[in-house]
Parts: sequence; C-alpha cells; structure tokens
Amino acid sequence: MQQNTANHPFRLFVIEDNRTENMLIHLALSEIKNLTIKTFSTATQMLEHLPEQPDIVLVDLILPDMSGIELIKKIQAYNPRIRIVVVSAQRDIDVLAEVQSLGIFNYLVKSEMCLTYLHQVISELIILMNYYRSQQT
Amino acid sequence: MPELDDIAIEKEILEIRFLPLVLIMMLWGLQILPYQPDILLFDRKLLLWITFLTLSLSALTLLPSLRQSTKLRRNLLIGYQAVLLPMLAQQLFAHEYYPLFLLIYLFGLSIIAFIARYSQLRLLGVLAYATCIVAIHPMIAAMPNEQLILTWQTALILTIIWNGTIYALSTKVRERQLSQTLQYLQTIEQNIQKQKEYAEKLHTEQLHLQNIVDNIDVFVALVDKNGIVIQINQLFLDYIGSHGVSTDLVGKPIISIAVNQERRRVVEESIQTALQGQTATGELYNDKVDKYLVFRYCPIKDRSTGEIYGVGIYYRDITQDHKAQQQLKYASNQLKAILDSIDQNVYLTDKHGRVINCNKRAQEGNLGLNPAPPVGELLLNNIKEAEKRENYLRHHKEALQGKIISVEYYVEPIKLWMQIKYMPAYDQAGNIFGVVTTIADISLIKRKEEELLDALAKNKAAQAQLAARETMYRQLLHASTDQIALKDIHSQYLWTNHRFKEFYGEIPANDAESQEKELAKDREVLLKKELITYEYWVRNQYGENHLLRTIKAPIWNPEGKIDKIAVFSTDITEQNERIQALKELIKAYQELSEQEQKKARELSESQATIQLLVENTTELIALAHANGRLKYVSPSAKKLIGFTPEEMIGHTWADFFHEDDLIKIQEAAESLRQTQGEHTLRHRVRTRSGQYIWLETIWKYILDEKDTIVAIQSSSRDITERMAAEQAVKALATRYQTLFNASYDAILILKTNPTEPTDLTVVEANTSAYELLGYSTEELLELNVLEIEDKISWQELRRRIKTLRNRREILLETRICNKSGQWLWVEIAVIAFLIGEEEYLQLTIRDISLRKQAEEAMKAKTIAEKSLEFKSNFLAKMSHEIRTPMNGLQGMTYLLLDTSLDKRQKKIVESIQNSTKGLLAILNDILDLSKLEAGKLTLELAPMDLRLCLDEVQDLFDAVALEKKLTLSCWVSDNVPALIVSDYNRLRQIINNLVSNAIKFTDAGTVTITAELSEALTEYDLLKITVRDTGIGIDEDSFEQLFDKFYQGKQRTAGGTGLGLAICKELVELLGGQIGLQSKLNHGSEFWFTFKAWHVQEHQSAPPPSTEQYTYRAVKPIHILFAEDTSVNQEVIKWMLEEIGVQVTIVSNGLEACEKAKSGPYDLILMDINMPVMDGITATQHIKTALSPAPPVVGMSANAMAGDTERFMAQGLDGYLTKPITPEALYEMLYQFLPESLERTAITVQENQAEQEQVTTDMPLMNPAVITHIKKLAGNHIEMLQGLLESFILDIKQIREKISHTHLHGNYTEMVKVLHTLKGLSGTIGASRLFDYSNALYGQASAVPQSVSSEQLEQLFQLMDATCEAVRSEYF
Repeated sequence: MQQNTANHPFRLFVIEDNRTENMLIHLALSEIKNLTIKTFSTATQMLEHLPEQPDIVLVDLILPDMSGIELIKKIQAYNPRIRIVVVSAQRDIDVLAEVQSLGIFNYLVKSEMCLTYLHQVISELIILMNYYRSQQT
Repeated sequence: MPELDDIAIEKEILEIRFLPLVLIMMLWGLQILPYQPDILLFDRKLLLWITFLTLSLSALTLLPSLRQSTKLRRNLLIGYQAVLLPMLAQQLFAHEYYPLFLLIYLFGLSIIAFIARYSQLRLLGVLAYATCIVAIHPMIAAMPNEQLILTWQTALILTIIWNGTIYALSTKVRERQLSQTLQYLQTIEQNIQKQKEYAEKLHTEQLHLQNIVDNIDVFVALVDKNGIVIQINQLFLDYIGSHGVSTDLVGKPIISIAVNQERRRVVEESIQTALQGQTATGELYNDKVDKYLVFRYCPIKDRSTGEIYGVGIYYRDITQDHKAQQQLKYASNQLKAILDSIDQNVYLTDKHGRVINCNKRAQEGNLGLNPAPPVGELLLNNIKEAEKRENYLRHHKEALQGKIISVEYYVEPIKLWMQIKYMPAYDQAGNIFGVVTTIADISLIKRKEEELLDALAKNKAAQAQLAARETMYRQLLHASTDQIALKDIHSQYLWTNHRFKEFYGEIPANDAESQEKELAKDREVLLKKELITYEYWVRNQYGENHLLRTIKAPIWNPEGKIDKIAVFSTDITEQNERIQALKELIKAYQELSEQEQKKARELSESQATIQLLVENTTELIALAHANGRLKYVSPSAKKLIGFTPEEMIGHTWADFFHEDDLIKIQEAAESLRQTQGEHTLRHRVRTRSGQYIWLETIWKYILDEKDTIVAIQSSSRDITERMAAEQAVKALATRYQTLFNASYDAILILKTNPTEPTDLTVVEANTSAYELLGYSTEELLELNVLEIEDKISWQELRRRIKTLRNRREILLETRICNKSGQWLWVEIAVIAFLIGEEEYLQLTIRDISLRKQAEEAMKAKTIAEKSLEFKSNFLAKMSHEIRTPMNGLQGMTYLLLDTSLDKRQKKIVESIQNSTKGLLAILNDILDLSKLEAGKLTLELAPMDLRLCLDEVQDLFDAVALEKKLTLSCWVSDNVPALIVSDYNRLRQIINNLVSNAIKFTDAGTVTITAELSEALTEYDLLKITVRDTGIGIDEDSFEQLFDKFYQGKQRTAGGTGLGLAICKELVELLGGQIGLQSKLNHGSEFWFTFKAWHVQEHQSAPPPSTEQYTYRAVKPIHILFAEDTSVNQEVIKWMLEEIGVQVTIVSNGLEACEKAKSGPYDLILMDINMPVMDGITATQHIKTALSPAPPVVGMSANAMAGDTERFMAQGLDGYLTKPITPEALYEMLYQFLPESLERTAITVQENQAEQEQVTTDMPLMNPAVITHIKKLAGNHIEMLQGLLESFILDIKQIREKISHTHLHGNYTEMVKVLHTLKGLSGTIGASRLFDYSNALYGQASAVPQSVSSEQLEQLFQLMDATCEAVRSEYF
C-alpha cells in the first residue's frame, strides 16, 4: 500500500465548519508542495472518508458533533499511522496533558500566530514523512 | 574365700574318717564271725578302746569349732591313725593273727601312701611306704606259713597296684581340678576387678551424695533397723552440736539426739512408723535455740528385695518460714482487727470491681447499705441507682489510674452525710491491682465542722466586737472631761487620756508633797483593794491650782490580782466655788422660808373647816408637802386601804404605790408641772393586808402667789371593781379583736339605715380589710360600701335585701374596687345581726381574684388556643391559596422580562414583578407573625458582624433613599464588639423594617441608623440600635397602639400591612430586648430597640458573607418528569429546567405521573402536591412501591407553614420546595440529587468585576503581524484575500445574530458554542481585541452561561462591528 502511494501527494484532512477559517488554513498551507487538503464540516463526515488514507488530520478539540478526544481515539483506532495535529483554543494544561498522552504529533494553540505555526508544523511533518518514505523505498 | 587346700582336705577327711570306721567294723566282724577261736581272743578291751577312740574322733571332727579348720581335723585324724594302726598291727602280730596283721599292715601302708598322696611330702611318703615294706619284710619272712607269705606277697602287689592306680587317678583328677581352679580363679579375678571399679564408682557417687547431703539445708540422717546411725550429714551434726549433743553419732543410736523424754518418744515412734513402711512427719520447736523444725521419717527399702532396712530422717529448719508465717498471720489478723474496728465500710475490689475482701461492717451492711456481696462478685451489684452506678464506675476507673477520689453526699432517708473514698490498692511491686473503697459516716465530722465554723465565726465576731468596744471605750475615755489615767502597781502611768495630758502635760510633775500623797493613795488602794475617793488641790502644767475629786480604783486581772490602778479625776474647782455661793444663797432662802411657813400655817388653819368636810367623805383626801411627804390623810383611808391617817402621814404616796405604777407619778408630776391643773391617775395602792386596790386619784398642786408649789392635794376613790370589769371586757375585746384582725378574710361591720337601704356605713373593719381594700381606718369608716362595689342593678340590690330579710344571710360573688383602683373578684358572706335596736351587717370578704384570674386565664387560654389554631389554619390556607397563583405570576414575569420588550412594556412588567415581590413580602410577614404567635419561630444564634448587617441594610435602601433625595447614614459606635452572637437574619429584618418605615414617612432630610453599646453584662451585652428620621413624626397618643397588630396609623396612605412594627416588637422580645420610640408630630421620630448580644466564644467565628451565588449547567443528559396541573406553572418550571439543559416531560396529574414514571427511566420527578385525579403524595407512594430503585421525588406546594416540610417528607418525598419556586432553589435541589449530572459553579462579584475589567486593556483591533502574514500568504491571489475577508465579515454578522438570539432565549449551550467559534475565528485572523474579549466571555459563559449580561454582549457586538470596520479598511 505504501509502495503504491510512494510518490503521491500527502493528504491532509481538516474538520472546520467555519468557512473563513477554512480559507485561512488553505491559505496558510498553500505554499507547501505535495500536499492536498480536504475539508469536512463535521467529524462524522471526516470519519466516513478515512478509507481515503489521510496522512495528516487536523483536529479541533471542540467540534460540533463529538469531542476532539473521542475523534482522536477513533482515528487512532482506524489507523495508528495517521499523524494527528491538534489545533485548539484550549489552553487548559490538563486538557493538553490528556491530549499529549494520546500520542498526537503536535499541538497548536489557536491564536494570532496560529497560521504561522501551522505552516511550520505541517512543513516539518512533510519533511519527516518524506524521509520515512525514502527510507522505506 | 574358701582356701583351695580346704577343699582337698575335706575329701581327705572323708576318707580318713571313713577308713577307721570300716576297720573297726571289720574287727567287730572278726569278733563275731566264727573264723578261728583264737581270733576271738582278741582283746576285747582293746577293741572297745579302739572303737571308742575312733568314734570319739569321728565325733570330734564333727564339732563345729573344728569344722572351721579342716587342716586341724585332718592332722588329728592322721595322728590318731598313726597311733592306732601300729598298735593294732602289733597286737595282731603278737597274737599271730597274721592275715589280720597283714591286712592292718597293708592298710597302714595304704594310709601312709594316702597321706603321701595328698600331702606335699609325696616323695617322702613313697619312701616311707617302701621303707615300711622293707622293714616289715623280715617279720613276714619270719612267718611260718608259706601261704601267708604268698598271700602277703599278693596283697603287697595288689596294694602297690591299687595305690599306683589310685595315685594315677588322683593325679589326673587333681590336674583337672587345678585347671578348673585356675579358670575359676581367673573369673574371680575379673569379678574382683569389676567389683573394684564398681566400688570406686560407688565411692565417688557416695562422695557426691555425701557432699550433697552435707550441703543441703536439710538435716539428713540414715539409721538402720535398730536406730543406729549409719550416716548423718554435716548440717545435722552442726545443728546437734549447737545444742550440746555429742556429734560423734555414727554407729550410735539416733535416739541420743533427743533432748528430753518427750522428744525421745517422738523419735522412737517415728522410726517405728517408718519401719512399718509409712512416712512419719511432724513439727517441733526447739526452745533452746528457738528454732522450728519439720521432720520426716521415711522407710528406706532395699532396691532389689523391697525390704525395709533402715530409716531416712530429714529435719528441716523452718524457723524463718514459720516466723514469717506467724508474722503474716499476726499482721493479717491485726489488719483485719483494725479494719473491723474502724467505723467505715471498707471494700477491697480487684481491677474488675470484684470483691476481694471487705471488713466486718461492710459485710454486715452498715450505714444503711446492703451487706457486701460475697468475695468474687461485683461490688457494683450492691448499687441500685443508675446514677450512683455510673459514679461508682467512673471513680473506680479513676482510682485504677492512681487517683484518690473522695466523694461526699447526703443520704436523705437516713439523714447522714457519707463520704466515699476510692483509693488505688498497690501490691508489693507498686502496681495497682485493685481499688479500696471506703464508705464513712461523716455526719459527725460535718456537724463538728459546721459547729467549728460557727464557733470560729462567733469568736471572730466576738473579737471584732471586743476590738470595737475597746476602741469605743478608748474614744469615750479620751472624750471624757475627767482626767483618766491608768497606772501599774508601782505607780507608773500606763495610759492617760487627752484631758489628763491637757492638764498635766505628758506626766504630772508635781512637788514632792503631792507625789508623796499620790503614792500614799495608790498604796491605800492596793491595801484596801477597793476604790477610794478623795479631793485635793494640785497644780496643773500652767502652774494653776485646781481642786480635783479623784477616784482611784483597783483593776483586777483575770487571776484575781490587782495589776493596775485606774485614776479618775474630776476638776471640781468651779463646782466648789458654786457650792460655796449656793450655800450662801440657801442661808438667805432659809430665812425667807421661815416666813413662808408661818404663812402656811395660817393657811392650814383656815382649811381646818374644810377638813371636817373631807373627813366624812368616802373619798380619800390627802395633802402632801411639795416634796411628796403626806401632811394630811382623811380618815376614810382606814376604810379604803386599811391604813390610819397617822400611819400614812410622813410617808410619800409612792410608798403605797404598786411598783408598776410608780412611773405614773412621774408622768403626773410632769403633766401637772406643765398644765398647773389637775391630773387624774388610775393606780394601785397597797392596802394594809398587802393586797392592792385600784384607785382613781385626782392630783392637784396648791400653789402660792408666786406659783411655787406649796402642797399637793389628792383625792382618791376605789375603782377596783370597775377596773376588774373593764379589764375583763378589755381582755375579751382584745381576744375578739385579735381574732377579728387575724382573720384571713376581710371583715366589715356595717350599720344599716332602715329608711335608706343603700346607706351602709362601715363601723368596724379588721386588718385584712384594710389590706384588701387599701383604705385607712378613717377612710374606711366614712365609706359607703356600695361605692366600692361594681355597679350593681337595683334589681340585684333588691334581690339581696329580700334574701337577707328572709334568710338573714347571703353569699355572693362580686367585683369590688380597692383604693388604688384595682378591681378584685371577691366572695362576700353577709350576715345580719342586731345590736339593740340597730341592725348591723357583717361582711366577710374573701379575695378570689387569683381563683378568678386562673379561671379566666384558663378560659382565655382555651379561646386563644382555639383562635390561634383557627388563625394558623386560616393563614396556612390563605398563604397556599395566594402562593399558588403567585408562583405563576412571579415565574411568568421573570420569563416575560427575558423576552424582547419595549421600554414601556418592560416597565410594566417590572412593576408587576415588584408588586409580586411586595405581595410575597406581606405574605411572609403574616406567616412570620403567625409563627411568632404560635411560638414556632426560633432564633438561629450564630456569631455575626453587626456592621456587616447594617451595611447590607444601607445598601438595600441606598437606592430608595436616593430616589427620595434623603440622606441615609449609618454610624456604629466603637464600643460595639466586632463579633457578637445573635440572629443575623432577624436583626436585619427588624432594622430593615424600621429603616423602611423611616424612609417611607420621611419626605426630606435624613435617616440615621446608629448602633451602640447600651449595657455590658457578664453573659451578654445589651446593644441598642436607633433609627432616626426627620419625617412626619407620630402623635404621642398613638405610641401605645403603634406596636399593635394591624394598626396602621398614617401608614394607610403609605401602604404596607401594618404588621411590621408588631413583628419587630415580637422579634425584639425574642432577641431579649425592648423596643420603643420618641417622636413628636412633624418633628421626626426615633425608633430604638435593644437586643442581647451574647459574647463570642473563642472558637466561634463569623461565617463568611453569603454573597456566593452559583450557576448551574447540565453536563450529562438529565431527564425529569414533572407533574403539575396548572399550565402556567408547567411552563415556568419547564423553561427554568430547559435553561440549564434539562429535558422535561410534563404530566398533569398524579395518575399520569405514575404511568409515565413506570414507562421510562427518569433522573428525578418533580411532583406538585395538590393535583386532581391523584395527589402528589399518593402518586409518590405508588411510584416508590412500584419502582426499585425509584428516582428521587421532589414535592412542590404552596404550603409554607412550619412543619409542612417535615410532614411531607415523612410521607415519602425526598425533597420539598415551597411555591413560588425560584430558579436558584430549584437548581440547588436538583444539584443535591444529581450532583454528577449537574455542574455547579460559584460566581462571586469580584470574579465578574475582574472579567469585566479585562476589556479595558489597550490593544489593537487587528494584529499587524498576522495581517502581513496573511497578505504574504495570499500573494497575488487578490480574489482569494477578498473572498476571505468577505467571508469573515459575513461570519461575524451571523455570529452576532446567533449570540443575541441564543442569549435572548436563554439557549446558553448554543451561545457558548457560538462564542467558541467567534473566539477561534477572531484569533486565527488576528483580530486581537475581539479575540481577547470573546475569549474572556467564552470562559465566563462556559462556566456560568447566565452570568453573561446584555451589557457585555453589547460591548462584544460593538467590538465586532469595529473589527469588521478595521478589516475592511485594512484590506480595501
């Protein structure tokens, strides 16, 4: 399977019901090559598309239809290799600790610098994944 | 050990002994047999001799003494044979009995051989044998008979062969014997060796044993069957030696240790007993060495045979034990004797209270107590009363901890003071093993103690009195005008008074003569031992001469000796002068008086005529001189008192007076001197017979022209009979009067007026009457009884008169008024009686006010109780009726206010809400009052801060005051404690009420609240709170009514129930204070009240101010079943519940509720109590029985009377809410039952403020860095950027709508979500200020959604607009 996907662009799934925010994320990540972004307005929708093998999922902790923690668990249960990046306005240290304990890739606090950081984090992740891919081939 | 030789010799002997016997028998045989007649010639004598010798020899060898020595026997035999055989041979030869000779010869040879065989001279024997044969040979040869020689030769050969054979045989035997002997010897040697070892061992053992025996502290001796000492240990010997008995005892009879006959017998008997196989024991006392011994005689048996061969004797010195035991016994007896002798009950109990021992008194059950329980049982069993049992257990326990407890108490039934002491009992190791309890009768001690105290007190008092008296005397002595001094018996001054010092200076410094005289007088006193008086001239310190009258008196000490002299000197210098002057005056007067006398004489003559008259009257006429001596007594004296005038003249009247009446003379004299007129005197005089008669005497002075008394005239008459009668009457009257006055009932004697029946005047009244009616004697006598009685009708009066006429008595109950205006209920018994012509009424009045009061109180109480009950019921019903619609009203207005209303509508709704609140307040007032009246209101006393309370009141009224343009101020004095204990809410209620009134009735000016300390007491402080206003004031006449219930005064115009002050009054009284006011119409009022502020205990502290409020939010799905018949209430509660995210299912009666409850799981059921079809309680009970577990059921009702809650809860409800239901109460109730599903967050004012303050921070609307970044990212895609911005603005617009909508509808969950979106969006796009504010608001809203105010949202919306604006300007 991995060999099949050896050179295909990395897939990134985003759950974001707000159009403006969606646009901002697209904008922030538009520079990164070899990355396709797919947006879903609810977590349930996203979960239905999991068979499309996303490489990265951006998860907000507060979602319209289920809690972020729940979603993370479901994604991990489906495929533990999917990299999860949490983007949330939650700053509660307890919540952070819980999320970290689930083994997510990174955590971004939604703030004004969010877009910059998001760009950085995803870029680094892509580099990393490229490296792994090259290792496997 | 038998000698080896002896064995051989024994055999020899046997042979030797046997041989002669055989020989002799042969000889005798020869004699008897008819062999040859010659042979018979054998000398019989010799034969007899030989026989005799042989037999005797044989016998000899049998002698016991010779048995011992076998050698000797053998030698004897040999010797005998050596003699006998040759003799025999010689005889035979001589008689030519050759064959016999040969036989003997050979026989002899054989013996030689035999001897040789056995003896050590074996070789020598053989030689001798041979020699013999050789020696005898000639003889044989000489024998005539050849046959004989042949025989001989044959015999010889045979003999030799025989001997040889025998020898050979014997050698063999001997060899064998030797080897056997050797073996035997070896065995013996081995045995000997073994025995030796054994012996050695035995010896060692014996030594050990001996050592042990010597060293044990028991005297040990071993005696044989005969009582001979075999063994004895050293200790025994030492002991015996110590009292002079020979210690060399071994081998001697043990009996020798006995010191006397008695002891000897004991020893013998004991040994005999032991020898019979029994053990003898006993005790003895050795008085020589003062030792107690215990002995034991045991049989000692042979181990193998079991035969008793000796006796073991053991003595043990038990002197120490014995003495100790004796002492112990003695001590114990002594102790027991002491314990028994003491006058207390003594119990010794172990740790568990079981009796170990007790003394005799305790056993007998002294002091009215039960006999002590037997040893081993609990002493507690003796105590019956629970309290005493507890005390006993406690004290017992304390005593076990080492305390000594003493308790005193008084036992009523036996009138004794008891003292119980509990003392720990220590064993020798000093550990407590039990408790000694003593019970003593200390009544005597108590009494003595009291007496002692009494005596002490008396003594003290006496001492104090003495001291006081001494001081007093000293002061008196000092104050005396006499010179007073105290001298000792040597004439030394001990003490002088002031006067003395004034006169002489410190001490008299008189000339020698005066001193000599002084000393002489002192001596005189000492000599005479009585006081002396003398006058003499002395010089004072200023050199003036004074005449002193001095009294010297001896002072006796308690032993009866004179030890001091008291000197009293009076300065009589002036007196002396006066006397001198007087004497001269008297002289002049005497001359004058002679003239007077002359005149008097003339006068008396003129009276002579009168005298005649006088003498004939029955009255006793007497005339006395001014000095009282009788000058004339009329002859009637004789008749009257038995004395003749002559007997009386010269005496004074006083001589005849009864001594009790003497005082009357003085009275009379005094009276006469003042009035100069007559004085009548009743007195007794003594008659001649010694009896007394009563006289009534009229005294009169006869004066001359200078008003000088010349004579006293008296005329007396006998009034004895009259007096007796009078006194009898008086005594009777006094007795009646006493009875009359002593009567508990008031008694009035009234005089009737036949013409006017209502005219009843009091003629007599007793003390009780005065007391009852309060009128004085005079007032009472002038009183018309009808005046004091309650108005009665003419009809009644007529009825009374009629009854009185018929029955002469009436009993009536009526009300009378006493002087002080008090109305009394009395019972009057009227009896009519006649004195002479006049009719009197006797009224016996009994005060039955108390009875009446009690009766009335009972009546009033019943009525009050009934009315109170009625009122309570009425109020309960009314409050229920009012509360139910009000619940709807309040809830609806509450909800209505949340809808979008225009200003006018809002105001209307608000006023509805206010009215509702007011109505509710009134309702609460009424309820409060009814609770107060029913006594159901209780105070909740807790530490509180009065200042805080006043602050709250001020806060509450500040707005109202401001509206009326009044100044509301509050001042608390420093002397008010920071913390007090009182009822915070009640105090606030009172103050609220007063302040509310003050503001209500004040149109301009100020309202001031002051608090100060009124009175500081030990247990509590009395604080005073005053509320002053400058309002309309109150008319003084209304003061009284002001605190009455439902009195409204001027309030009618101002609104209110008029219950406020009544409630205040009740509350203040409940708080232990008073309420009052000062006011003047139009000059403001001042209401004050006091209350008890108890002191705060150290551990108490004020509760934190209850400003905490909570917000609630469902965090888990909650489904509630709600049963309510009123649709309005259904809606209200439903909305309230939905607001915090609770799902509600509504049913409209109890039956439906039951069905629904069974059909699905509910987290909680809200149940209205009063519902059609099936009420809430029944429904609850159905649900509780049908479902398990049943969800909690919370009841709701408008019943707000005290006790309702408890009543409902008892019927199965889990919780209860009173209508009208407030959201807070409802949420709190839910939270209590579903704490996990519901989130409760505390919000405080400070938090809100802090959050609000955050907004004011200065911050750019848009973060330029983010904008730059976005722009950079967008690059040339302008459309993209534009689309983004448009999208943002659109989003913001939508968000705004959503927020305002959700907030309006209270859909807080949704609102929070929207706020979250806003926060994220604004953050991402870099709208700094909006992000910040929405972030804060989101935090607040997610905690307490309701706390988000419209103002905050307004601010948010403004910020949103501004951000949109900024975004537009930034990008376009």
